[in-house]
Amino acid sequence: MIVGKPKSIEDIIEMTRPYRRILIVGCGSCLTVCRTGGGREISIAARAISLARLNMPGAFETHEIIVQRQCEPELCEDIPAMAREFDAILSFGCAAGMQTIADLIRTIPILPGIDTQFMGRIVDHRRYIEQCIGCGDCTIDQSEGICLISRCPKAQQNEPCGGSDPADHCEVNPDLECVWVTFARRLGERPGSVSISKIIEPKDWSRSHAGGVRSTPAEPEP
Amino acid sequence: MDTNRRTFMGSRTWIEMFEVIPPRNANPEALLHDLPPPGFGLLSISDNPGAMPAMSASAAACHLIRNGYDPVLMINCRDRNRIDIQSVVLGAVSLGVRFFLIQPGIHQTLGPMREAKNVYDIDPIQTLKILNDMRRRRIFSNHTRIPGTMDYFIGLFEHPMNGDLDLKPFFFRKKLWHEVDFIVTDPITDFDRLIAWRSAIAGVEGSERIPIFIGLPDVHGVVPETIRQSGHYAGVYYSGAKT
Repeated sequence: MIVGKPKSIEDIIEMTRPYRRILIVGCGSCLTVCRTGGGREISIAARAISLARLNMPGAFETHEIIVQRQCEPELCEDIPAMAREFDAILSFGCAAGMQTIADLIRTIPILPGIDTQFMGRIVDHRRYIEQCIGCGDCTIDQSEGICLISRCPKAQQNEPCGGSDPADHCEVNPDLECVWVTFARRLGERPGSVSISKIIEPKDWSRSHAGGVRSTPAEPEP
Repeated sequence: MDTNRRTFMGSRTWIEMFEVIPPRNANPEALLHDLPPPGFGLLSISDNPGAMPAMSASAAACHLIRNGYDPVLMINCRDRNRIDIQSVVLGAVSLGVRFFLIQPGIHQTLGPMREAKNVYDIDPIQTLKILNDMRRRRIFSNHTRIPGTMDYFIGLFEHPMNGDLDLKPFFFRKKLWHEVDFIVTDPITDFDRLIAWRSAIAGVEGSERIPIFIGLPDVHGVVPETIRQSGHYAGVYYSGAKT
């Protein structure tokens, strides 16, 4: 799932300051699930902006709408008509969703309400952790089902960096266990595995964003 | 003592290696100031220590060579991709560098320029493999041929002080597989743990032939005489800073 973090309300107020009529668009998929871009969150944003604008001169108006998936143009087809009544769109979708709307509506600015963060999964207490950087060359079969690229800040694929603290927490994010400790535990649960012995070869980064903007092949019309 | 160890150590029986922090300016005098005379041991040159810009390790090594030293050039994987690392090695060997020491590098978010983007294209063991292929097979990482010959020693760090000792032999074996020439440990704060680590890797075939330098937190660190006399270690490495 794509995880995003709302921008601070101060940033949103500053960003929306030049506009009188703002259409706030949430997303009903990933960002609703991770509780940053769903109906509740865009309502809170709308109220916060309205409160902040009470002391500013001029009329002000917001309207809220949820699109099931902002990254699908077909699901955003109502927005261009609605957008004619507004000066700006404040999107609470991920960057893919925001840019989909920006492609559909080019006459008014699209403002990001979200900082898109990572592809992750929920672990505990509705906490999400990064699990994938989209390297395009998945090798988790060689590392007990663990992505060492996304889950180790130094992308150490053959041994731990040695920087973890005595409690085996990562030196970069002490809230997280060193992924090599997770690796070792998995090994213990799967006797006979030889993955720890394998030397993982340098990754082919040309399949990642380093190789340029990626796209899937176009499918022929049915 | 077998061939690799003899080759690396020459006639010396206990080597002292000092980590030198390059100056955060362009003044070579700041680098050379207060160094002991050449010939006493080895000087390793940090590569942007603390994730902070410093005189490049290659340039610092060049200054040291001109002044009669035999530097160990450190290369971190944080700031360099495989293209740059191979380029650094070619350049350094052309200047007369004979020793390289590979490390991941402290994460930039723990330094004063946390907003910088890191590289981490290849990890230290993958770097070892590439550097070994450059000298033994005379090829770059993409298998393009390198004309001529090169010879140098490659070192990596080990981390006896943390992690599961049961896993250490696996990591050590990977380094031996790609012909590491010497090992430097992280700074040792518990010598019993160092002994336990040494025992853990003892079963790895060939481990005895690899010179191991005991890392110490600073120049005031002392290695207990029993460990020094044990024959398991080649010398001591005085850390100047954690890089």
